[in-house]
Amino acid sequence: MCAARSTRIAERVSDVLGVPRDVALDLPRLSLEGNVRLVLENHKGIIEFSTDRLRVQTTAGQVSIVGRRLVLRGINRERIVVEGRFDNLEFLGWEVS
Amino acid sequence: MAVSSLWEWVRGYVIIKVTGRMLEKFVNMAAARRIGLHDVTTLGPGMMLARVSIDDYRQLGPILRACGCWATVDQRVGAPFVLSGLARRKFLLFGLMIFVILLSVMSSVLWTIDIIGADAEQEGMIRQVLYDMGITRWTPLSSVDCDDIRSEITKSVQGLAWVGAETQGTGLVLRVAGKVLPDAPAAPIDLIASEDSVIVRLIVLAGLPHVREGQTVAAGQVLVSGQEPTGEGGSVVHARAIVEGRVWREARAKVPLIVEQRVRTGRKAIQYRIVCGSIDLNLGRAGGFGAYDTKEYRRDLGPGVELIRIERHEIAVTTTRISRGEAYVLARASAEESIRGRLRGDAEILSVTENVSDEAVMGDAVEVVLIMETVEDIGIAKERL
Repeated sequence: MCAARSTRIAERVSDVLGVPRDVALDLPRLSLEGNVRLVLENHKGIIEFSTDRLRVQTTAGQVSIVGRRLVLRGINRERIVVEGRFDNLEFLGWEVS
Repeated sequence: MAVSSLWEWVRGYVIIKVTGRMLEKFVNMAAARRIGLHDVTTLGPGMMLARVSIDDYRQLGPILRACGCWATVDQRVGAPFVLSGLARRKFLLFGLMIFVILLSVMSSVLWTIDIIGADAEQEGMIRQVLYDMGITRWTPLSSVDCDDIRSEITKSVQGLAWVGAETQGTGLVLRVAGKVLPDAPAAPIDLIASEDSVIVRLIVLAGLPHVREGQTVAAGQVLVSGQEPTGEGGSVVHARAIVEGRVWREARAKVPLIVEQRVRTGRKAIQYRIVCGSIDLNLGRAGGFGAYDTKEYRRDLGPGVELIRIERHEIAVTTTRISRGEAYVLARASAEESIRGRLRGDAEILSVTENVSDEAVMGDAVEVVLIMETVEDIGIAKERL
């Protein structure tokens, strides 16, 4: 309840000051190229990984990809690059409206 | 191959197979410690493949232990592995080294000497000059100086107008061109008149003149003889002079007023003849044309037997009458063409006189007589027999 309230305050402040929301709210940034490549920045680690499913923890919640032949092309502290055939992209437990 | 891929190959990398229950934790810990994992794929529950550089692979031990995983190297790729593989094969390295040394030595000496453009005698002399200069097969290329070779051959071998020398790889290529000397006549050369003419200009450069300006000469008459005018008997020379003469040439052409034209009508008759000794057998029709032209094709069928195919094409003969004016134009053109065909290239035309036949004398044709007066060089060289 308290976290949701602080999030709303941060949203309003970012709107008033014109600061990008992903910076103000420490949100993950996702760049999707079709349904074959995803670059996810500002992650908190992998929760689950297999050839048909990838679940990544972020500051806002989890990002889940369901697909086929998923490959982690690269991973470091800031970003994950994943390739494959994506069938479904889900945001689980996100608190940002 | 992209530059990054090439760089990775130069640095070397391994493809590892990681087995354990907490593979996600392993990946997260590696990322946290800035260990670059690439192309991570799972092979099944608790097993995955990843590509990692050699340096990063050395740092994986504590992470693997912390996650309860273990890793085996599936594949080694890159320059460090190739070099270490080579380092183990000492005889291969030795052979490679010997090969490089041999290649270097063999490519630094002269293997071939090619001489282009010289006859057999000149080639022998050129090779002798090269031998004297110390340039033979197996001479080090560093001691082959093309400029020296060029100047030495030009100086030593007579009869060469030009010498070129260059090294092409391990070969020395010499290109030479021999001098072309004019044929020296054995007997004196006289200048004789090419046409009946009147000499208008005479400048003797060498030889003894036998005519003077204004003199009429006949074709073949000696104008300047190949003999020096001074001294006893005179020495033999090649007579040279500028001899210009006035020449008159005449041509006549006659064109009839009635012109006959023969045109094929398209009808033809084919007849075959078989000739065998005294037997002459005709097959087919002769055509019975009033006027025709004939073509014959002969073919041997055997000893003494010949087959002749005769084609007769019917011809329609028509006569056309042209005017005297048209006939005159045709006759004049024909006469002029006849004279121009006999003119020398340097001839300067002074005047053209024409004489056209009178209608009263020649009613059925027009005859044109053309006389062309020119000034031209009439001297031609002729060896005295």
